[in-house]
Order: sequence, then C-alpha cells, then structure tokens
Amino acid sequence: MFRIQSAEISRDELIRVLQNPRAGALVVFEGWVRDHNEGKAVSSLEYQVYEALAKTEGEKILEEACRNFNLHQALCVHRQGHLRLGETAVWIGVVASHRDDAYQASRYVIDQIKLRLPIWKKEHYLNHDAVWVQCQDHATHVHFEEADYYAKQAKIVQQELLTRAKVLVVGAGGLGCPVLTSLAAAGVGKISFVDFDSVSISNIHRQPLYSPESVGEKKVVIAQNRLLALNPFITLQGHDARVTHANVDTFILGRDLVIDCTDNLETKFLLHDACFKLGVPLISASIHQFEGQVRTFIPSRENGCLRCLFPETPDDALIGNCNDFGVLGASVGAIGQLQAHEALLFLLQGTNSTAEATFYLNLKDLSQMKIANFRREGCACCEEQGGMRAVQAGGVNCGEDESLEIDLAQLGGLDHQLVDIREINDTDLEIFLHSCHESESAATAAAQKKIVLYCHRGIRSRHWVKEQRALGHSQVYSLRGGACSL
Amino acid sequence: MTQILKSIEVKYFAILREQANLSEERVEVAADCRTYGELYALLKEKHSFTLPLKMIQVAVDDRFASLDHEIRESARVVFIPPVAGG
Repeated sequence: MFRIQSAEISRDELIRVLQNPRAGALVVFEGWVRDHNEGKAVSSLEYQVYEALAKTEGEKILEEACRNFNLHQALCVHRQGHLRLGETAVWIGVVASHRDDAYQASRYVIDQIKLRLPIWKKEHYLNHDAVWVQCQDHATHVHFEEADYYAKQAKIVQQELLTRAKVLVVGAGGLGCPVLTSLAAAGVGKISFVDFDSVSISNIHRQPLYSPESVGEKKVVIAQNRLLALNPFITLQGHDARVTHANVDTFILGRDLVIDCTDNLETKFLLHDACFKLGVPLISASIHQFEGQVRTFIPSRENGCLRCLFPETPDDALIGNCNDFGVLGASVGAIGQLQAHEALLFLLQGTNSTAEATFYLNLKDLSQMKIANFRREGCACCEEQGGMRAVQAGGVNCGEDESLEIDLAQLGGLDHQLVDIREINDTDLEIFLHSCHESESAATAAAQKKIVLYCHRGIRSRHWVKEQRALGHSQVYSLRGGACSL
Repeated sequence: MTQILKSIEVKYFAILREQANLSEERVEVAADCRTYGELYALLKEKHSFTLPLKMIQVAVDDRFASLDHEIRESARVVFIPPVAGG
C-alpha cells in the first residue's frame, strides 16, 4: 500500500499493519528532514505532490519490489506540505521471510521513489533563499513502453519465447556479468542467479556490473540492482548462496535452462550431474587465459555428457582459474557473450550449434575448433537420464518410482484434485501440501482424496511427490507426462 | 489568423508553478502546435520557464506520456520537472 498524507507519520500503526506470522524480517527506512544540505543550514522542507500520478506510480514500485524480492508485504507513506526539522518525510516498511530480500527491497523502493515519483522538495534555509531541489541525476528518467525496448530485436526474434523463459545463472563473475547483462537486456522474463562472493577490487576489470564503490558488498545485491536498472520489465532473483549437493536441485527445478558461469570444476560437475538427473538443459563455458570453450547439454538427446569424458571429477588443483593465471576482461567477456548468445538461440530455437559440438576459441590467434560430442557406452550419467526419459514416455517400469505417477485414465473414478504447480514456488507449494495433509489427516488411507501435482513435463512434480512419499504422505501423485498429457 | 483546434488544461508543480505564478490554466492550442513537447516550448516562452525541455516529463490524464505524442482534445496535461521525493 502506498499513501500520501499531510498528517505526521505514525510508525507504530504502520508496523502493526505489517505483522505477519510467515515473515522473518522487517526492514524499515525512514527519511528525515535534516538540518543541512550542501553546506547550507536548512530550516524546513516543503513537499508538493502530484497526487493522482504519485499514487499509481508508488503502487507500481511496491508491486515491483514484492515481485522481485519475494516480499510478503510492502508499505510506504510519503508526506506532503510543510515539514519541520526532524520530522519523517517518507516511511518504508517491507517484510519478507528472509533478511536479504527485505534489505534489498527497502533499498529498491527508496531509490525508485526518488527517481520516479512526481514529488518535489523545496528547501528553506536559514541564510539563503529557498529553492526547489533539482537533482541532475534524476533528470533523465523517462517512462517507456516495453515493446519499444525490444523494437530492434523484435524484427528477428519471437520476443514471447524469451519473455516466458525461466533461466538459472550460476556465478555472477567474469562469465556471469556478460551473460546476466545480455539475458536481462534481451528480456529473458525470469532470471534467477546464484553467487556467494563479495566484490573485490581485482574483480572489476572483467566484471563490469561492479564498480570500486561496491567493493566488499555482496555481488548478488549489486548485480540485481544494476540489472533491474538496465531492464525494469523482467523479474530477477539473486541468491546469496553457494551451490551445494544439498541445494542444487531446488535452484534447478522449474527452470527451462541452466547457465554455468562458475570457475571451478567441482561446481561445474555438480551442476552438470544435477541437470542430467532432472532433465534440464545446461550451457557451460570456461576460459583459461586466451582459450575458451562453450558447450550445450540437452539431457533428452542421446549425444553424451561430461561424464562420458570424465567419469571422475578432475581435481581443481590441476587446472587453476582466472584468479591464479590471469585473464583479460575482454577475453572472458567474449566467451561470456558467446555463452549468452547460445543461451538466447537455445531459448528461441530449442537447440543451438554447441549442442552438437563443443566450440573452442583461441582469442590470441582467433583459431577455432568444433569437436563433435560423443556418447560413451555404459556412462552412468547418460543411462540414468535414459531411464528418466523412458519414465516420462510412460514406457518402462522403474520399480518403486512407478507408483509415484498416475495417469488421467487411472484417476477416472477416484476422488482427486489436480494441481498445476508450474507457477507455484517451492515455499507456497510446501504450505499448500501441508494444509492438504492437515485437512485429510482424519480420513483413512483409502478414503483420502488424491492430490495430483503436474508441471510442464512431470519432472518437478515427480521430485515433489518423491519427497512427500518420504514424509509418509501416500495420497500425493505426479501426473504422468505432465501438462503435455492433459 | 490561426484556427483554434484544441482546448486543454495544464497543471504546474514546484518550480514551474512558481515561475508561471499559476497552479493551472486552460490553454487553447493552435494547429501548428502538434506535440506536448512543442506545447512546452510555447509555455516556456510565455512564462519564462528556466528548465529546458530535456529535463521535463509529461503526464496526460494522470499517466506518463511521451513529449512526442500528439496533443489530444480536452487533455489534462502536467509538465513534470525533475523529482526529488524521499
């Protein structure tokens, strides 16, 4: 809720409105009338507001913050009229499950308010004439149409395919910066990205989302703000985390494509194996000084994987990385852009040329190679994916896994509820399932209503059903073949 | 004599309000003034506004619009100087 008011702001009342049992963090920002500005003693402030427009624009800013930072609620009150020193001119409160989201959202709301709301401030001074504050930085902000933003690519791409794409980018460093920038600018609709690192001064030459003033800050925070400023029409979610065996599946599930921009083999193989297990395409790139490579893995195709080449994960100590060997920003930028380009082609066409052959580029002499991918007989990673494909096609009996799935035909006479989980995030799904179990706990197993989850192809829903079964909930099923079978 | 085509309402805020010494006025727009940008240029001269066009945004009927848009009959127009909320 966004409000303009002349009366003083009552913070206790506002905080009461934000109370929420699901929230783990409240961040409040208060803008106060201070007694000086640019060396002049200020005696009071006067705010003039174009109310109709400020309200609609203010609501928009809060909606954007809720969407981009997983907020439960956001509230903002801005004063108008004459304010004395020490009074609160603007009050912002945001609540989220986690503090990172709340901190970032609070910052986003105040920055956008200063940039976009038709609110003007006149400063009254002790020893000078009063002036309307004209902030030069904010003078160029204009309001644009989304279609105009993509006008020059609309002639050659079907924008809708990019707008509805959901992509995960792992790593916001040398490869991640160009990849994130190009994907955001191209309008990939939902981008989530993961990085655990903070900005250091030696990152910036090859990671141009950051600047010296962001040294020491979390990369995901700075990158998210920069990327949203670059393209306000997309949804972005940065995760300050390390990708591990324990969390890798939750990052990948529900994504159309994963882009590996990491700089170490351990994480590259971890992502690769998880993508094959879950059937999600992956584009991986790496660079060593002047030599880079890009490869696309599409698990549903039978043209091999990284485990066909390296059954055992090679030791990182054997190869080194950009920090150890050094690299030019332009070199890693070039490979990152190639990777981004392959990602866009994949989203637009469903395939690209690096899905057939790994592309190697030597940036020193511009020599290049394309080495056809091959599949090693007996590769466990490919075999597992083969089993997965068969299950999706409904053709193979996979022992205990078979009972996780159910067909529309089988559901005929049974009491059931079909649940489309494609637009439901993990947290909300968990809450929903919990409430189902609560309401059915009194019924006998046979009388329980069956909950049938489905997603696009039945992969994410199967994963959820497996977890639910492990918790003892036998009435939850995954729809065989997913939405495609409906 | 120029033919009068459109009658619109213009509102002013902040520095524009002070320089025009008005918070709103009705303006009759002649045929040779086509866009909101051109309208601002005329009003700038009339009221001796100091802000150049490039620092101005426009809202029409309480929605942001483009200065290149053609002026609509009966539009409620607000020229928006650089903002400083917060």
